[in-house]
Amino acid sequence: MTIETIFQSRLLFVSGKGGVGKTSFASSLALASSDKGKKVLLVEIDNIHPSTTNIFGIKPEYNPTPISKNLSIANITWKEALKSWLTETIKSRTIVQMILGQPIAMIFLDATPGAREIVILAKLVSLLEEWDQIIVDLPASGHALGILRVPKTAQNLMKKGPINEVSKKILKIFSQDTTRVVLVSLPEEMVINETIEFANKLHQQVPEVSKPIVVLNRMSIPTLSKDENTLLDRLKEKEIAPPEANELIEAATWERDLEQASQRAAERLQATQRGKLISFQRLGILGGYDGGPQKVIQQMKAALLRMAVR
Amino acid sequence: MKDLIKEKKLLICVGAGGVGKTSLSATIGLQAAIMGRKVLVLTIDPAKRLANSLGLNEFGNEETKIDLSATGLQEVEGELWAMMLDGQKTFNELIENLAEDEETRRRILENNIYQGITDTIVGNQEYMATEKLYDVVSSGRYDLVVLDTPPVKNALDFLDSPGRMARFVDKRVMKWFLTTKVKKKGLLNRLLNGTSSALFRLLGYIFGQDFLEDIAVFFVNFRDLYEGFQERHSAVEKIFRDPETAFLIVCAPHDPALEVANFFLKELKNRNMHTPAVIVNQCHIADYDSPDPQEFLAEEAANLMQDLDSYTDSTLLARMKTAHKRLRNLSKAEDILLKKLRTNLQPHQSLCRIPRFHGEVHDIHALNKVGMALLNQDNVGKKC
Repeated sequence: MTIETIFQSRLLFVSGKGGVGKTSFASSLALASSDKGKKVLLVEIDNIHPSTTNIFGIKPEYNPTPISKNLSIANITWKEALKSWLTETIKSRTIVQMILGQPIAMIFLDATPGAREIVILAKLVSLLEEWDQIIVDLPASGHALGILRVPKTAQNLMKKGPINEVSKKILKIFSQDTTRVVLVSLPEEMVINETIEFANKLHQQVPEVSKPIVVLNRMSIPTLSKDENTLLDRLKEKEIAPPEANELIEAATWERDLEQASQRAAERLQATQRGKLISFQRLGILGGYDGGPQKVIQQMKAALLRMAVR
Repeated sequence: MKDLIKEKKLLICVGAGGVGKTSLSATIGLQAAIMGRKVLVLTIDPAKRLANSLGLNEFGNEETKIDLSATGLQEVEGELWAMMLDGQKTFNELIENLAEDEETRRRILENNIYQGITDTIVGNQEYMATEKLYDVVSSGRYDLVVLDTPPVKNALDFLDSPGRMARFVDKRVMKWFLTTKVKKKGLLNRLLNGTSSALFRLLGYIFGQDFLEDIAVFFVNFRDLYEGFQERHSAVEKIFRDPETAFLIVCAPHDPALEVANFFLKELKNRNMHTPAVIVNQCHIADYDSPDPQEFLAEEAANLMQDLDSYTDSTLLARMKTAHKRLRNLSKAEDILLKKLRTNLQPHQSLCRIPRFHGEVHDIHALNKVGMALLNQDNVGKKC
């Protein structure tokens, strides 16, 4: 089952179009998974304004910060990742210091295509030794694809040497069954187009990684009966004068739009999935929910735990 | 808004993803064409249906004229052109323009490093957008260019992107690589005699000697193009600051989008870039406190029942009441957010509110409807 695949993954990348709820999903999964007894690390990649700060009230640093007994958060910044990787690879502090102290070398390392991403991914891979599960809250689709593509590019560019070797190692981890990509989507046409496109591109460009698991967020369940629908349409056609009447009709139409969009979204996305499509119900209408991020996370976490039991 | 669309030469829409930047850019383009201007909408990977509705079936890098004659809109005097950006093609074209001869061109395009850059830097559509912008704005072919920027996680990426290419071909790095006059053969050996040979050897160890050799060759070929990149970099920055350029911040009435909007407000101000308006798209508008469906709709509903199950009218009206309550709450919550946003605006900056429309905006008529809301702010209840 799909939800089990997610819970059992060891390295989980979460991405999707901007504003779909990537961080909410990644955080709630981290909470649910740690509740089930796993030692979980929730990671952001080189984020200047880490999104998890709002959720846990703590700004994640390069070194993991414990949130609870089983859960820690971190923000893998590239400079620290570079230092750690160089130290591991070169095994001489003096030489590492020399490289890091040379502005020209830093500019070079910073600007070399893919170097940033490689050291960050290498760090993630080495963290796998200490954690049962690492959940990576990736940037939005385009950037995320760029990051996941880097080990392959690096292998082509650097035919020999430590970067080549670490890229090989990363690709090997990518190809394991316990490495998964989750794409968070919404019942909106443009978002779904992007989700499907991302999944296809990922499959073409990084075939090592298993097909992404899609999660449909903010989904509305249909409530209007067929007759209620017909009556609503008839009322709309009537062009009733008072503005209050129009506002009422408008409100009902909004809810119906959402329900129908959710149905269409679920059908389109389900077609891309092997198991049952994972979805989260909308909290409040039209994305208007004032429970705050913590409450959203708690609700999503509860939903995830329920799905896992079923 | 009317004046901006009528008078500016470049309008750049910035903001978070998913707030309708592409549709708004197309809307602005259409309105400018209706006003009689020749306008190009430069967009990045829009939803295919929007592209199709604009007559863009080919995902090429070509400027395409949109046929407005069949739309049934009033006679359009101007011209609407649209173009979808293709990062790879834009970059190749750039190299072709900058390279002096066929040989240089071929050597660069075939170089391993070039292909690596294509993967990482070209993947950055922000950078490619600014490159293309330079071409179309400086060509003088259009009265107005509307640029739909890619959504950015780090909103600064777009503003800083002209420097990105310049960063890779950093002068200091190149100089370091090419300290001595180089011959193609034994390049590395020559370099290793230099002062920073230890560091060089180390990088060789990390990246592999072949890679450094590739880089060196790349730099040799690229050296002549460097000035060209620098020139374009400063030209684009100049365009950004031109008084005939305006940035429009597009957002939606929810926290994440507004956070990005506020960030842009601050950054654009710091950079002295002209930002006359914030457009809040997708607003839900409900002006009445719990109107009673019984009072306003019961009679009409009862008259329309005919073949329907009995009680359908009362159940639907009950649902309407709940739905309206939610919509009203949402509308109020959004008003509070907008009030907060307003406090961050300077007196010369205006706030435009555009209602959310049913269905997705992907044909000329829907675009025109959004356009009307944009130009006629009184229609949506609040003044711009």
